[in-house]
Amino acid sequence: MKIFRFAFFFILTVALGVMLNSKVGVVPPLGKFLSPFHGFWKNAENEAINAPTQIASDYLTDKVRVHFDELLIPHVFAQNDSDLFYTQGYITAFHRLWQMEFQLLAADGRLSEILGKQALTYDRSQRRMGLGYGARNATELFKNQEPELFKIVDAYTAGVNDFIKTLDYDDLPIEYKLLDYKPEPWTPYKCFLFLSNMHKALSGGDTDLENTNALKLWGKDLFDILYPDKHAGIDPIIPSGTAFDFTPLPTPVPDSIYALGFANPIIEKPDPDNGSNSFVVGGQKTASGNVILTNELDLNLTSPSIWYLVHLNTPTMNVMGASFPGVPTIINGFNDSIAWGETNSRADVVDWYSIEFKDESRNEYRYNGNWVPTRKEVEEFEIKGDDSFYDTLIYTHHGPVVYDRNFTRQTEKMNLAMKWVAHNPYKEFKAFYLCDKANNYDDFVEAFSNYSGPAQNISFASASGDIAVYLAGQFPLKWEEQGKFIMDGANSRHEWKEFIPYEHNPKVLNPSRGFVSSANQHPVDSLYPYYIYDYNYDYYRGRRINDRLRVMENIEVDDLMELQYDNFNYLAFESLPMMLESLDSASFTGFDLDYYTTLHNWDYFNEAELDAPAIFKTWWDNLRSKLWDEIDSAEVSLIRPHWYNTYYVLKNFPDLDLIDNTFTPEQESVDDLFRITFKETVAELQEYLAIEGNELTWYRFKNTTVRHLLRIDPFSSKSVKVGGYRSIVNAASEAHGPSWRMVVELGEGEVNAWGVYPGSQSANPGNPTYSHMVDDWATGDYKKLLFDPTLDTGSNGIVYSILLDPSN
Amino acid sequence: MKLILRIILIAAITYVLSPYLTWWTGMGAAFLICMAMPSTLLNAFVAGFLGVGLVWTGEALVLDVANKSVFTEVIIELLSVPLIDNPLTLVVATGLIGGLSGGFAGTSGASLRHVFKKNKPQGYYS
Repeated sequence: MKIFRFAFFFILTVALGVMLNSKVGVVPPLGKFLSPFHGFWKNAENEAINAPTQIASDYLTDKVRVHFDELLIPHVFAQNDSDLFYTQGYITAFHRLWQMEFQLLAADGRLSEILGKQALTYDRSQRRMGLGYGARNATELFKNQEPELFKIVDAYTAGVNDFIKTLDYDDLPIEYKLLDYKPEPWTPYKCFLFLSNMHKALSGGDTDLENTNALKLWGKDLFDILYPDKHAGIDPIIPSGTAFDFTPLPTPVPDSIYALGFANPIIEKPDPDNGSNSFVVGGQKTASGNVILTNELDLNLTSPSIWYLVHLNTPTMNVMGASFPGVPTIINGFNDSIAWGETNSRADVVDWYSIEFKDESRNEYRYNGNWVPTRKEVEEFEIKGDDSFYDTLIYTHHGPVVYDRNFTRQTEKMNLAMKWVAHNPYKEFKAFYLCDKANNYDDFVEAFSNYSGPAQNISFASASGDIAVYLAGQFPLKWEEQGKFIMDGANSRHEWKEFIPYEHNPKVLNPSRGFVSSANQHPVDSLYPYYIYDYNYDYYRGRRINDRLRVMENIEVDDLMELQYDNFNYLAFESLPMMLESLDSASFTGFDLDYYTTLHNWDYFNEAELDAPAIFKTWWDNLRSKLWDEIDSAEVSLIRPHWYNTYYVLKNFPDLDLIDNTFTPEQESVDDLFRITFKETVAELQEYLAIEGNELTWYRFKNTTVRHLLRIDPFSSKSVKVGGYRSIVNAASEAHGPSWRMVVELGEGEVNAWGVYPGSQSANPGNPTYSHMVDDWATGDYKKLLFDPTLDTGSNGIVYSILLDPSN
Repeated sequence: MKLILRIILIAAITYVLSPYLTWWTGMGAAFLICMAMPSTLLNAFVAGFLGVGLVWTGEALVLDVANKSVFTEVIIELLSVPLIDNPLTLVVATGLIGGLSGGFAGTSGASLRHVFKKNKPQGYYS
């Protein structure tokens, strides 16, 4: 009897314990999570930094000192590279461990392990695109060919792992507690995988499949009107007229060009706005005679921030700037002699090849009239709360077959292999490592000869007065329009085989106009002898920046900061007069008149407090929806022409069939389209006001949000008071924008740098500094960066110091 | 008095050992103390509930006050559970979870003792 009673209570107690120890749905394990000795309470920090001031490590060969400044930027002073990068790994993990790991689980196609089945399609697409495949290739290559530099990656890995070893459950970042999992050991592979993921973010937005659909649906003439390679009047990165003084390699065009077939992509693409601005002005244009370099990286606005600022110092290196959490070295920044920054080149380095398998077994595919064997790998996807899922990946010599019968919603049998620069192993770490130590232009050029991608326009400035921009990365050597559409995987002449020689890459050093700039626009004009294509080159930011820099003289640092925050809406400047012209404003009353007047009086600046940008944006969106309805409602995947091309078509092709709204019996003209969509806009905004309250203030309407990676609202910053928008120099849109802004002034023996980003070094929502720079970022309150090789404990501006000591 | 002694012992063990052991340290403490010291089941429940619950409440309160409730507010917004709408309610909820776990563990401990110590009926009333 009593034994049964005991059994009853004991089972009840154990059941309660298990329940409080388990995550149920989205509810974290309550016992663990609420325990004041272990749970979220322990993530509340009362001081900005909670770390021992002395840390013992077997890995180190010498003492390392880390001084944190008021922004919590670590200044790492080590005696050798190995100790330095070990400490970079350790300290980065100290601030950003969860983010580092989460981003790489995502890159690796392993999110299902912590998020469950909802992430499976994403995971499969990641693995099918071969992010891990490329990273494994790169790890092997680097290990074998650069054993000395591989030690950097090893050291970083050891640092991260030594930090992980210090953690008990109560020390874990809050996200681990919410999702109820633990960090796993870091590996060198993950460092390479991070770069694979950047390849995807910055070069994964190709439109080859949609191009193919459009070409097949409409023919080449209409295709070229809707999706031209470039327009007259572009303002390329390499100034028009720059001589290309080399003999280009030949690019023979094969007889048959396209392998056409409808294909519907299902892989979610990275944000097409992933881009950036960078401009550098030479001494002849500045008040001080020093050169000034700026860089702003437009990426998803996330919390924790994608960037982690750090200063790395050894007797042979003194460099500061932004790093990727998970990657040793500094990605953009400055040292005593040079500064460099990046903007995405966007060139199409992804091509798709249609594959014909011999039979159902898919063991062989056709190539140059022969059947050649495939290679198969079975991938296991562990799923939280579910059985594992298995997916067979087929590799051809082109690359992995991403779309096939198992991962498709194609209307016909279609197998597509992906060929991508990111699958080729290369040596990005060497590029960044050498650039971190570069002393001059030649060192810089040499450093990035080791770089394959994601292809970047790298801007450069040196204390000795040089300014330059160099397109770094491997650009496939292509014939005109090669790879713009799906290629024939059986025809070797459809493949790219080599790359444009690095020394033939577009570049310019000290142009006579006294400045260089890049903003994801076309890299070159039509005089460049090689074919470099992308549909999504930007048409607006680059023109605005160059318009301004051409007329600016006696430039000071503040002027360039102001230019980074420039809110001029080039799109509205070009298209709004045409749109307003079409309206019969004399008949307007009430809100029609109100909005018309607001737009009419607007100076085209997307300032945070104005109403006009909200009205214009809504009108422009409605216009595009009406105009491109045939594209949106097509049965195959198509993309809308970009903004500039939309304007171009409206202006130059008013008789195009597509302009007529297919859902109405009447034949609409361009003017009708403007009138109808203006009415719709007024109605839509009335509805918005009725629901959202009484104002169209741009920043509230736009609602720029710095969103936590898990989309947890209380960990995010909403409705940030910042102007600008897509295709505006101040590119802050809803969830995307300048993820880091930097301004560096270089003179002889003088380096001054400023920066700001929408976040904080600490990724802990329970830290008093969490997201502390968001408002400063919104208003352009740059922080002077402490860059002093003599920093020490107690130096001015140093708030905390840690000694990492090998002696214990 | 024995009740108070039990509560103090459970609370002391929970407080001292929890930082080094798991979150269910309090459950272990309540189970062992109630097994070692004779009591009724109800009495054991109360001892476990208060022993663990008070320590959890107190510790949570100390951390919350030290942090000026900043992070507690964030977590309240995150959880968005009815009734938990200010830091004090989350402190109390924390105490309740700790208390319940301790209470049931204490009851289990006492009932295990009853299985073996059959001839001490006075234990039911102490």
